[in-house]
Amino acid sequence: MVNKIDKGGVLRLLAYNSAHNLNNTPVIDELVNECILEAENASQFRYIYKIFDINGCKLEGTDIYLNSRDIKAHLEGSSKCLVLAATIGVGVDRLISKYEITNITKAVIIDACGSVAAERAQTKAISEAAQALMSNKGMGCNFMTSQYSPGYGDFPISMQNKIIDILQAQKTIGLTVTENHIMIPRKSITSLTGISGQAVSGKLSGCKNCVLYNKCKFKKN
Amino acid sequence: MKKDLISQLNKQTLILDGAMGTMLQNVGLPAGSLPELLSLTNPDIVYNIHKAYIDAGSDIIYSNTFGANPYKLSGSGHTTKEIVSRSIEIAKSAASDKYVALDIGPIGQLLEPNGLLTFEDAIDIFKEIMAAGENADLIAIETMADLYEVKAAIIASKEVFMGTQKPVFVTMTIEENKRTFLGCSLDEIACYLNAAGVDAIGLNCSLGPVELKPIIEGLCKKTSLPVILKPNAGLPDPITGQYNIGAEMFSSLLNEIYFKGVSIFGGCCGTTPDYIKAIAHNLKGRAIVPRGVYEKPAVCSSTKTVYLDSVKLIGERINPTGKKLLKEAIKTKNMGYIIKQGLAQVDSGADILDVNIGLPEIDEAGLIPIVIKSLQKTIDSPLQIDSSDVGALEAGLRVYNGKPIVNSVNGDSENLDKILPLVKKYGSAVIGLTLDKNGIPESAEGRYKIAEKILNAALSHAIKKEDVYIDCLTLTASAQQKEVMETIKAVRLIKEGLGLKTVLGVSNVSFGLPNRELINSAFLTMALANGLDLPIINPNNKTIMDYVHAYKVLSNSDVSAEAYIKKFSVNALSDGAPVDPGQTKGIMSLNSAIISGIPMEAEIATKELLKTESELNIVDSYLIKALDIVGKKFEAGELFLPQLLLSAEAAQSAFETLKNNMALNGTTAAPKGKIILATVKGDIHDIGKNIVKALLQNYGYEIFDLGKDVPPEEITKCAISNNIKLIGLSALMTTTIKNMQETIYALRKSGHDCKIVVGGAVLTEEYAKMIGADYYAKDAMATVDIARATL
Repeated sequence: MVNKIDKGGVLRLLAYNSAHNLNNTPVIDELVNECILEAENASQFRYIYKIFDINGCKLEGTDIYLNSRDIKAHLEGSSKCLVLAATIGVGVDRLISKYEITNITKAVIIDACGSVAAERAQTKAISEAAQALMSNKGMGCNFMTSQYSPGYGDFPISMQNKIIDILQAQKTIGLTVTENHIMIPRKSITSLTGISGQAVSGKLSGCKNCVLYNKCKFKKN
Repeated sequence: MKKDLISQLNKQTLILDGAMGTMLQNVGLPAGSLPELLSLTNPDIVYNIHKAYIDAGSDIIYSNTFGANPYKLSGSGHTTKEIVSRSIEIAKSAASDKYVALDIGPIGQLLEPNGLLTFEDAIDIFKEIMAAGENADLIAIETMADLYEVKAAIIASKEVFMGTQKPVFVTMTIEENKRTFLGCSLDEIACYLNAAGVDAIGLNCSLGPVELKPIIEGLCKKTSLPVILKPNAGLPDPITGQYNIGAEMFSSLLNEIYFKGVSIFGGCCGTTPDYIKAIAHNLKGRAIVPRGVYEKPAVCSSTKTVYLDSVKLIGERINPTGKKLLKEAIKTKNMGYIIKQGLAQVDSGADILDVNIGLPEIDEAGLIPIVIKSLQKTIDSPLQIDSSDVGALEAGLRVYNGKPIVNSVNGDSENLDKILPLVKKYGSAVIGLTLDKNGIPESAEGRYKIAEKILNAALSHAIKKEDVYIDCLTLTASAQQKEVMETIKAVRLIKEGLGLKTVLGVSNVSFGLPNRELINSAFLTMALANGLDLPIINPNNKTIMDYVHAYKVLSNSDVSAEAYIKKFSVNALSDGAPVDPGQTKGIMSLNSAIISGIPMEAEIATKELLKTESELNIVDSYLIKALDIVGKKFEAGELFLPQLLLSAEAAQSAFETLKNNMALNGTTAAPKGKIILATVKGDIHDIGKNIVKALLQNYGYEIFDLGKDVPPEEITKCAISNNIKLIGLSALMTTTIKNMQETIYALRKSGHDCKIVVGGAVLTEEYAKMIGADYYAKDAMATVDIARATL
């Protein structure tokens, strides 16, 4: 099922750890399951991507320049860049806003569910893009880096607006961005992935490269 | 020009143009840049594209103005007026005797409640575009996913072109699941647009003709308006961006669709003059295939349509008459309370909600938009706007997202002349009361005559017959006993004689009698059997609802009694949901109910305590003590956030119980202190703020929740006018922290003496100091400690 939400991921985002005593609140486990189900039903998975040649610091055919140190390092050795946006739609936003009035606990849990679903949407979109790329022999795309998103490192979050524009994301997947660079639907992800004929890994993605690695409660490893 | 086009619309097929963006990209327009700027920088390129479409056979071309709005053009150095008027000029010069449509796409920012753009600002943006494009022959609103944005554009067109009757085309963009990105289905599209006073409706973009064929056929069955189809050239290859359907194939697919009754054809992304040439060859100037559609009576919100094809229930509970807590909520603008009243009725089976907030001491026209916006944000059932104040009716109608019901007009000509134009302008249905200046006619025939007058007046305002519902008026059996049957008789007469839907408020009939439920239920059953379509009732009343369920079986609308059996069979009664621990036990102490996070138990325990203890004592000796235990466990890492919140909800439910009790006794509790909470301007993350609010309320503080995206002025104003000493600000983005700093600056500058506490994911203790806050709260419990220390 496309919208399947992993419970472990939801609990991680709720900062749950083994020291917590679930017995204190007998209904909590069932409540999390219920929220996952509601969030899955409210999610509409959509994505859009385009592939651009990297020409120095520029994405060819756009007016996007990749001048920041971190994104340059991440895309080093890549000849093309996969620009992607994925979303689970406004359904989960609406659920959250309803529960913020009627049941704040569920609002918080569904918020976490939405974030997990958005990550999953991106992973799924990337794997579908990878498949399409591999089957297109002319592209010479044998290797991909991991994903890098606006707001990571010194890659400015304002890049969000540019990405939405070049992908025509409002028209194609209903994704917009505010003047303060907040995406709506909220549970959406944009990313850049380097593509190359030779092995590249992307230097700066994953929790370990994050400046907050030592103090973050939500990290994956 | 208009007359010509309108008459052609209903006579023969018309050919639109194909893509503009695709053509511009073919000549090197970079991805992500604004095609509309080319109207100024390279008018020849734009002209040549228009000309190519005219030469290919277009009857109507769309100007190069899809994204020409103040939002998208900001930073371009050019105004909307400049670009729109120049683009229309270019299109007109290419069009010669053909029509030019002012093309309007989505603004690019989502409207409230999904996004931050207010409905009023959206109307202003569309007005600016339309005023600049006044020389166009028609308005084409396209690629829309949000019915609210469409409504803003339609209102703008009516206000800009008042009296000039410029035709308006509306096309939505829809996915294969037959809904738009914002969840609006073909039902809502047709329901709202059929009533909105536009000239043609349809679909464009998103998919190719193969995928859109079944969808447009569905739309053709729901509207009698001319239908437009403007598909993409198939689906794009994700890697190359090339579309998969050629011009000939495209044309032959559209030809098949023509036979379903679509009469206006064009192309969207990926189509070129070759495509238009091919469809013009097949489809230009042909007779329209008749559809013989009857538009079913219906009302809708933006995501839900209620067809009036069987008895539908209107919930009456959002009406302050005789309801102390609701009156209080209206006066203090406590939207949470009002929304909960709505949700409870929907859960009990209401199909439509009546909304009446009339109180002598409030500004009804000022408040009703806030109430309507709050309700439609969380509840998808259509609303009925109920007011005797014309200003309030219009204010409510204007902001309603969908097709509502106006409650009401009456047979007085002056009243009809005032209200019917609003019903028409905003695309609503209307209830007509069978009374006039002389009061309520005693006889059914007298009421029939007034109903007939109301119907004729509505028709003369171009309101459709199926959108007029008649209320024959329920009289009180204890005072006007012999006229009760006249009401029932009038229902039948009007239903059969005029073919109109009928409405009745039921509860009035039993006023002043004992066992009112019995009288109400009997009267309801009699009225239903005589043709009542829309009873206005209290859906939270089980007896009344049981009679409705029974009626649906007996009248054969609950076919095979399926719903009835599901509800009432022995199995259904005993085999309910697994029993929630504590849901009905009533054996827990308030202390353990709160610690275990079970609201129902907390309520029962509180009621039990109220037998022997005062409200204040319960708060201090039980509630807050239990919350402190939970708070400590949370801080010690023994509980995680959802557990803390469950306890907060249990405490909240205990609080509500105490509050209800006090309202009954006519007493109130002095709050521990007043606190403002707000998410700063530009930021929309309000869940953290709402968590803080829930906890602070538990500790007895009065919260002024200003919501999200709140400008500094509003916070300062509220702080000063309510003399609030603690202000909590939330921001979650590095980009909105600057607005937090500005808010703190504004508060300090105002000279108002207050403490400021800030929180949010990107903040730290040092950062909070740097931007001038008094306190940094790392989580919601920390805010409680700060409130206790400062207030």
